[in-house]
Amino acid sequence: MKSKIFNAKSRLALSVFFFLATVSILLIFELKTSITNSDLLWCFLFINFSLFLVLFKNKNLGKVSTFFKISTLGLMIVILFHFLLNIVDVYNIQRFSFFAIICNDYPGICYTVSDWFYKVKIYRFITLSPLFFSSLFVFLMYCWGVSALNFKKIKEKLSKKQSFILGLIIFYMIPQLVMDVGTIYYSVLKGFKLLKLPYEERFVDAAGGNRSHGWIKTLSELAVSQTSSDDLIVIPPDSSPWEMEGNSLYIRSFLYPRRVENIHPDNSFSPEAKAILITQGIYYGGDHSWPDFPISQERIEKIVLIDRETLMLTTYTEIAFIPEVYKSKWGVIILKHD
Amino acid sequence: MIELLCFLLIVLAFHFIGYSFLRVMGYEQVVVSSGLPFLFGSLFYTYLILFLMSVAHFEFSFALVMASILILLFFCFFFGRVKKIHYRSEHQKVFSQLKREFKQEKKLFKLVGIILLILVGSSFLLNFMWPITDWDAITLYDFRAHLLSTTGSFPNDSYLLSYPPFTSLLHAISYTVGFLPAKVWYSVLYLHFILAFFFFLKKKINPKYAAVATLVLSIVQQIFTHSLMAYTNLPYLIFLCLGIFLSWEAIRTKSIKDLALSVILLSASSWVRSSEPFWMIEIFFLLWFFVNNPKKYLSIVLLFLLGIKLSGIWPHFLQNYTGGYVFNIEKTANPSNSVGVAQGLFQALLPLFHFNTQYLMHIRDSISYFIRYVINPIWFWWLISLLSLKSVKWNRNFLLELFTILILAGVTFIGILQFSFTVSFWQAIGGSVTRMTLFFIPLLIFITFENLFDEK
Repeated sequence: MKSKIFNAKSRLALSVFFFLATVSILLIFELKTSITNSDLLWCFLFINFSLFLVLFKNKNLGKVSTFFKISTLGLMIVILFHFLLNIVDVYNIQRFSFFAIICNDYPGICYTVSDWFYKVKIYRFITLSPLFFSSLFVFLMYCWGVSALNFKKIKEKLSKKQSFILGLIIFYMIPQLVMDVGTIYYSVLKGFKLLKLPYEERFVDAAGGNRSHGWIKTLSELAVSQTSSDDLIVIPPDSSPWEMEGNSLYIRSFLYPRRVENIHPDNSFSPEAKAILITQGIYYGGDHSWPDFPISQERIEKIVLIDRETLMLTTYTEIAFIPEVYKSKWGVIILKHD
Repeated sequence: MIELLCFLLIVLAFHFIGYSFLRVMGYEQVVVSSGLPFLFGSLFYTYLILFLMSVAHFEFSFALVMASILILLFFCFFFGRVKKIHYRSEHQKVFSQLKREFKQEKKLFKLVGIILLILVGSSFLLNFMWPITDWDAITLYDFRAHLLSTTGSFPNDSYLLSYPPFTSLLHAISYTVGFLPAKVWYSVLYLHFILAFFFFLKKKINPKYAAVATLVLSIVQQIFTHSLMAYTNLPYLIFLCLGIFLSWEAIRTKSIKDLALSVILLSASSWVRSSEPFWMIEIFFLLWFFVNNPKKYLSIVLLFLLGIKLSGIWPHFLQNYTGGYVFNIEKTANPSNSVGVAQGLFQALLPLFHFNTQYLMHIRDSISYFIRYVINPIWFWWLISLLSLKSVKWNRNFLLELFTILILAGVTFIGILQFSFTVSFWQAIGGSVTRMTLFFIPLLIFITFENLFDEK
């Protein structure tokens, strides 16, 4: 007997319902923290189960396939918007003369748009993760593909065992594809800003900026600018929180051709040393500022500090180095040589 | 723009060098699309550069980069004339042949093609955009390339000489011609690996299933992300896996020229990373080949010597051209010397004869380490290949593949066991072991699809 639930309308309604359910599940994962591989596997299990219900008996699939096709295309437009809103810094939109003129001539429109921007929480849409979109996109493509498949033909060509293992592989690979597409989307979004910079200057932004790992390059550039190529620079011990700038193998590639030397355990260093790095740790090391020992005024030519936020340089001469004064500071001590 | 053009011309030159070599070796023109020409070209080119730097004492420079290419291209065109290789028409022929083949399963190939295009294209685009930020590349591979391109020679520094120079030479070549996004090399390698995988699997199963398997391989997250990193693991995996595929092919077809190529590729894996002794699997293949074709013993012995010589190029360079630089690293773990590593492996087995509880504890820890870092990250591929075993015809061909996997897994386990004795921080470097054993993924995918869709 033909069940009523499987007529064309019901299938379409079921598809819409499962599509919305998938979006909701992904949003929950998104709000939880970031979407993980196992989240994707669970979500994909749900999608397959849903698809099985929708496609059961393999009849009246035309509308279902069209629904997934249109949804995929619709999502592509949404992703395009997300992409544009991300690459155009919407919080500083007035820097574009076009928008500046409009806001000047019609302040009401600008006010309403910005009011809605916060009211409807469009900013939350902008911060949705690339993985959220890549999941939806790949899953929808998958649903579209499966609903357009001819199962009879597949049954003729593949044995049960082949279909089972191929099915397992597809089940495992779709979330992997989601991850790949997510990585691509994320990297393109972030990398778009890098394109404005010359290749040599991209490291800082690529490594998380000056508030993160990229700081090692900025700090090194300061040390490079204050020393000559054959100088020796003293660096902190190779331990937390100086894992990066204290690792001589790592920091020497930023300071090359200058040589580097870790401070000796008794806080001494080679007499030929020209500079000492001042650092609190690339990842903000709390109270662990360095050097943690005083250096007398007679040994110091100058101290150059760099502000991690503004990158402003401050130079002090005829001054002793007292660790307590230089907490939360970064820079370089240039030593005197007669 | 000119830099990009120079880079593309170099890639093209590598392809022609490799293609000429393969045609001279007697291969059909179909190897055009196999990805192998580029890989062989890059290999011979980097060997030549090191030869000119060490024996002829040339400095690494733009002139050397260009002169080496011209030397190799001259040989290509010379042999091309002798062997009557029609480069253009042969390329056109193969591409139109492929077109015809793809038309039979238009929908499937279109889908596979689009996804592959997105993945490979994105890999190129992202490597153009993003600079090198990977730790090992900054401290070693890329830093060494910068030193090479600025000073013209290898730095006399134990750490910087601890790995063979294949990827550093590639980076240095692009820096010398002014092309800064050196990471693009990894996209080029990724692309050629995908082509080569398809080429080898297509020989065994229906092209449409081979295309699906290739798609699966290129999607695998670990492999895709490695195409965006300036690490040596991807190039290593490429040479090792292709060497193994070629060895299987050589034994199946009893072709000594396939075996020769496989020996070159397997030895080349130690030209990328010499700390792993997996290239020694070629001894197993040579023995297997010998058992089946005892009359060809002379060629086999010669290939064995060739393999040993090729894998010893980097240690030879270190000993003779860097003032006999002595490493501070323990002898058994000396990464410049693959034979030393192999000795270490045997040493790890020695305590078996002095059985004690401490040794048992190490075995227990090594097993759990092996499961955690070798099996677990790619558990799915182990499981799927086990599931596909049911449809296996237990013939010689399959036994060869099975033994290959078992030997590689065995060597990995013994290596871990040896590490547990010699390296105090061995528990902390599980990530490196996972990266090191990524080559199991292509091998397992290959075997799974081959078993599953055996009838061509």
